[in-house]
Amino acid sequence: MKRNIWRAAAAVLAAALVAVIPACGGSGGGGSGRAGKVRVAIVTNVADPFWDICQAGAVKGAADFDLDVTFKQPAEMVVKTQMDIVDDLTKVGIKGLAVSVINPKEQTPKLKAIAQDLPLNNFLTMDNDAPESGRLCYVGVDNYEAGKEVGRMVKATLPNGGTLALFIGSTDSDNGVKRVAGVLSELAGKDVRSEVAAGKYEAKYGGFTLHRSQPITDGGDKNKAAANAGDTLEQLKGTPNLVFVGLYAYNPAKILEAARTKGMAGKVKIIGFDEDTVTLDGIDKGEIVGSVSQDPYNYGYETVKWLRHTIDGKDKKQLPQDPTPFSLVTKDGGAPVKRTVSVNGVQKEIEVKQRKASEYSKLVQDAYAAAKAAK
Amino acid sequence: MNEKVKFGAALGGGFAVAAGVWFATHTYHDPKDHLPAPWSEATLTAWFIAAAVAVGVLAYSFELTRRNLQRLAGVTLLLGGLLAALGYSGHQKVQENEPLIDTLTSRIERLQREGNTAEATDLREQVVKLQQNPAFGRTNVFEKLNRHGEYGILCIGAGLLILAGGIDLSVGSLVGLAAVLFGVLVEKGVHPFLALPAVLAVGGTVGLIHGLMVTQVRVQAFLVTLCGMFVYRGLARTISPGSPGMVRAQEVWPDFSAPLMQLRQWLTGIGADERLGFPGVFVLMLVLAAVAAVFLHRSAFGRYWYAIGYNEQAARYAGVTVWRHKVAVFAVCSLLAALAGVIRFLGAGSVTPSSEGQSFELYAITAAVLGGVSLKGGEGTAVGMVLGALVLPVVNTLMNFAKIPSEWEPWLIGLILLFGTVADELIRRSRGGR
Repeated sequence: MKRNIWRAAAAVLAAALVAVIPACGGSGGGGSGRAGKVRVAIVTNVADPFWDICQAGAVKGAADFDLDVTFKQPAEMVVKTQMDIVDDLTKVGIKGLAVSVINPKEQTPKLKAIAQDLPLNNFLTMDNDAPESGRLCYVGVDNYEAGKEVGRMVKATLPNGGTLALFIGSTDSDNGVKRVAGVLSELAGKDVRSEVAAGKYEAKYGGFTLHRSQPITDGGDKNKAAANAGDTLEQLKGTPNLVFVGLYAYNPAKILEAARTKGMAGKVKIIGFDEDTVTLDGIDKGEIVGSVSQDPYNYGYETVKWLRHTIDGKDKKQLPQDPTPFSLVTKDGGAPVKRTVSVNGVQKEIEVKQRKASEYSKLVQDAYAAAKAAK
Repeated sequence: MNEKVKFGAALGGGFAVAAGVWFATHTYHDPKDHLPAPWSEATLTAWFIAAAVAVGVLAYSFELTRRNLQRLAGVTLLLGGLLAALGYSGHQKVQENEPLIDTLTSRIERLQREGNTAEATDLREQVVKLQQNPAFGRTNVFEKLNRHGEYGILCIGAGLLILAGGIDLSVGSLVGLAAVLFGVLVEKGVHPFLALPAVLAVGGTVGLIHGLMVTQVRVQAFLVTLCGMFVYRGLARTISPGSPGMVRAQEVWPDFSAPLMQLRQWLTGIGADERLGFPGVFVLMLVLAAVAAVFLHRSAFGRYWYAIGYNEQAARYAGVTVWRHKVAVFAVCSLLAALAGVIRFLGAGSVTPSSEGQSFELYAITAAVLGGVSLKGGEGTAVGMVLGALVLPVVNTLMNFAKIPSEWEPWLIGLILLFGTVADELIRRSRGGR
């Protein structure tokens, strides 16, 4: 019987060790955290390959700007989950924080308090902005304008209109609402942001019939996204002038995979967002028309750069005021195109970079490899 | 021992523990942590007394038998290890700061020689802050206790149900539904003080339906609640196209601003300035645990629930109206899930219909099992549920404190919980449990 007690004690000790080992390893000599370096943190809205690319940029930034960067990807897109992580990180002496805000309006009061308590108020937003939170600057594209760019691509692909099926993870989130509103506003030729925010949709936008009269959501579940795409393809088989738009990174990839299994790849027009490996491959093969990219690698790098800027006590006026420009990914790439977009409420002409899918794909693979090496 | 003496001793112990925590967190805290303005002495005192009495009642109701103690041994050891690891990771933070502390100290000495006392005092405050272990700062402790409270409320419900031979897989979805429903009701113009009981009533009714389906229609609890899991998640998404939120609600109904803030302050302890002044959820959970403890260990109900969980047929032959008790426990479990949902909405300010509270049923069940509740039914204590619910919040905090990459977290958490349950089982077996 005595031996059993010892066995139990050993098991508990092992459990305690599991907890202690990372505690030593993490902040000790090895890994990303060398003692003495200034620590900053980046908290994303959810775990996703998109954020792995961003993390690679942040790791590069950490090396270039001599910072210890903690990069956290919450397991689910839930405000409480994200804010719990932020709460914990603010207790361990970080000198700067960047957050991809899930629900800007509702998180603003709490983020304001957090920004006030951070040294030098060094708080940035990235990817999804909360302008009233006291953030020093925002690193990210304007999702509404990026959505409009998708809309332009839809119109260019089918100038005479057609049937549009719109896929997205969720219309709960701010970037989801803005992207959907961007696409539909461009097609309708009028601003439908407030209707979309209220969950009100019409059957027709310009020359395009919106299938099911609403975006088809999957709640971030990639299997469901694949099923949604497959079912919709089945339903709309034979409809002329069909265009499928996927607005979260995995959506265009899942649409393409479903189209491939049904032998509809190349027949149905697919337009996407972001740079999923499958999406880039599809663009290169001509199965996807193109994609609007936010350049997440750059997000990561720029965020770290501007966090360092404030830590060094440099002029806050030098921080970026405008949203980061988005870029286009197409089969052949090409020269930058000019677009008139609204920047902070002012109409401005900007240059939109065009990337060649095969070349961009290599960059993304390098980023994944870098992120993996950093882990 | 005389019961009155025992009760008095337990109550005294409760006050001593509460006072200890209170003073420890108040003498040892970040100078920047300040008590938010709206906190009146009376509210704080009321809360403090509630917490102390709850601890006392919990201690008094706990039967000091060898088997009960064995049930707690595993989780206590696990928690000890985890808290030590947390304290250690905080301590490392202090070590990292040592070069900076040295520089600052020499600067303070220089300033004092020069007679610049004002700046020296400023710097000294900074040094004190750097020397403190952030794991034991007041705000940190209070935040973690609040998270413990949230898990605890769910764990008490799930624990009571499992103990009485049931299971509820819909807890997570119901938390989501309750959180969304509360938000939607308030946005639609229902006064927050009315919306709270309404949501709780919905939760209770859901539990009643579960109980009746299980006892009257004789469907397996596993199946009924599994279907419920899908239904409530779908309902949550149906009743709200986007994410309901407090700011949005206050914009539509400016009159609700004050009652919403009041409710948030009472239930969560977050003040109007968004800062946590008191671990409200934790105290609420302690009070609920104390009530559960009295029911479980000091009333006939508890005897019946243990009997039903241990052997339902035997309980029926012994004359227990099994179905009524089972329905009641199902209702309690769902009611507590609804309460946790409302607290979540108030605490976070906004909730995501599609994933709020996802897999909480599993967290609640794991916490209950870690706390010594047998999945076979008929075993478990209220104190155990409270302790079991503390494991996951501590583990989560450790993940952030110790610079662990996000993608390690799931498997680390899984392994730690597995170790906990294995240790628990071995300890129980070594003493010839059941």
